Amino acid sequence: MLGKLIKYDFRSLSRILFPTQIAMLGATIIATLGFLFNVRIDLSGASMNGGIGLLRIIIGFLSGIMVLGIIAASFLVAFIIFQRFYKSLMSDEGYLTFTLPVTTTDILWSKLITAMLWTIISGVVIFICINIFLVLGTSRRVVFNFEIYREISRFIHEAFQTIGGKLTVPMIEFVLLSLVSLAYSILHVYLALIIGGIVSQKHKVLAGIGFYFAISMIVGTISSVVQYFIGEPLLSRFNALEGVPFDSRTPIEIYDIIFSASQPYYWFMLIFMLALSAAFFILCHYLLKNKLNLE
Amino acid sequence: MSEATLECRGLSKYYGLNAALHNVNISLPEGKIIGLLGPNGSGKTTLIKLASGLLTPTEGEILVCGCKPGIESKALVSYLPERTYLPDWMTVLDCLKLFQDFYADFDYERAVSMLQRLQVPAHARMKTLSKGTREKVQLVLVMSRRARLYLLDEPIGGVDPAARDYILGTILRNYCEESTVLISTHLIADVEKILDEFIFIQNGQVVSYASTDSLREDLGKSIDEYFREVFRC
Amino acid sequence: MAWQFSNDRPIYIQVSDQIVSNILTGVYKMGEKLPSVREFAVIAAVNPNTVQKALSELEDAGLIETQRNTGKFVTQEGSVIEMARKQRGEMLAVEFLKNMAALGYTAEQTIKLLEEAKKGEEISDE
Repeated sequence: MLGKLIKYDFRSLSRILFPTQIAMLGATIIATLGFLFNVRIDLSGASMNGGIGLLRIIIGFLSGIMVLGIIAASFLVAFIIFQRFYKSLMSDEGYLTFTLPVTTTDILWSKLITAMLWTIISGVVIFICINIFLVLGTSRRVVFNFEIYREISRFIHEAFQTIGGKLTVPMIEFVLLSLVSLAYSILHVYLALIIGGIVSQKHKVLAGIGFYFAISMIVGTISSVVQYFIGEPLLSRFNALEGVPFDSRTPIEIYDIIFSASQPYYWFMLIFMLALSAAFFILCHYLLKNKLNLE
Repeated sequence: MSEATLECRGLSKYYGLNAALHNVNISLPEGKIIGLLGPNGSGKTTLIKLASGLLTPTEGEILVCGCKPGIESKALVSYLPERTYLPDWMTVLDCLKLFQDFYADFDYERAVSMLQRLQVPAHARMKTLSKGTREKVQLVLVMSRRARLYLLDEPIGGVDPAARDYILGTILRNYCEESTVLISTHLIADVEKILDEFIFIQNGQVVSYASTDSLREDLGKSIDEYFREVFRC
Repeated sequence: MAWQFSNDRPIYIQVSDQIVSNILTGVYKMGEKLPSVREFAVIAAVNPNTVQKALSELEDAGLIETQRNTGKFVTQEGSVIEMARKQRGEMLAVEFLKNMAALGYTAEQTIKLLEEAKKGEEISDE
């Protein structure tokens, strides 16, 4: 049943988000070309007078709007994700959602997984957009500028030659932490929306926003306490690095020292966030199951 | 142990200090059409929401065919809420597929032929349909399931007499003979002909639960007349 | 068109009365197949259980017969139908006399009135 839920949730998001992502790609290409046009005309030494000047202003203006549009589109992704969550659980649609023969746990997992998937998709699209700009919009001489990739690949190549296979672990750790903090951020908003929907009669979304900040404050308090007792001692291992004579070490040795010093703190952060996410999830589940009364 | 389709034991639901339902004990047999009748705010919708699993009881328990509200009970219950609850961006066909995907007892062919008879355009999005048509689509979906318990919350509230006849006809034509239909309404005169039994509920408590025939045989009264007597203001 | 029912008698009795009327007036003919329980329920806009009860009363009275797997039929016994017709006629006559008595007519006056009405009808028919 979880698979079916994910299918429907994903479709209800994609229906709106897919076109926005396509629009974003299109906008990027147009903005890049506009930018390029500007740069090229500048190079040809044409003056600001006459039609070309006006054209440049218009193109410049358009490119600016496109850039803003791209930023807006990424905010839209978040907005749509949370709007869909709210509508399908807290509005009349909840009558359907909560009478399907599925568990509340499955409903929440589906909402979380589809939200994460779409955030990742939109991240990938933004990454592609940046690359389109880098390739098409950064050179006055060639149409496709691959210089930057040559730089990057050189850097990666060097890094791998010196540190080598050891980079896999921190890369996996980075992905893991990103995923957990993504889940954490989404569940934070979900919980706020649920509490707002239960507590307030009229201004449910507004109350949700209020509870978002309230939860942030509570989490802030908890994390400073936990940080003080557990985080600081772990972090203080970095202080021990002060006396280390780095000059006499090879890059691999330096890497090893820093990596191993950071490990306890990394795991502390990961587990702490995971624990908070789990707490959010359990709270969401409890409230939906026992406290929610649809109008 | 006889298995009632819907069984309430000491069932209570409180909102804060307000009791929406208080100590309800009823056992509804299978194969009956039962009216859940009471004035506004008497707890009809709360009882139905508890049976459908939308609410959790404060005290006592509620069982559908012996199951506590959960996946198993939801698979057995076909619930028509008093509002339009289908996602407005879906087409009629999407909604049919959704029901088919989630409910093993959904009869897709039956739903399609009922919608065809109603001339509902299958590819129209829900939001483009009139409120009346949307309600008909919901009724078709709910009655196309071969459920054990149908919970119909105010199915004929706010519709014209012709639509009322259509709705009652649809219920009669399509419900499963072994299953129980619980219809909540305050329009008693319109439904009483199709009721086997009726429950009067007031201030969250069951006032009376009897069979329609015995009421007429013993007191020579219709439910409507009896209702006016019991709930005289 | 849904059937009309009064409030003072159980609906199944009224349903069976209505079905008897339909048999006597030839809506359902002798030996003819009757609608199914569910069809009756929809026609009369009543509960199928009510129809079931009404039909079994009529079956007890011998007016209808169940044939296995094929459904319910109006009886082929003319005598049974005639008996039902007689019963219904007597019932209506008694009721009519009662109503007339309430208006202050004696039985003899009522009969006279009926004969006059019959003549009037014959004249208007010509």
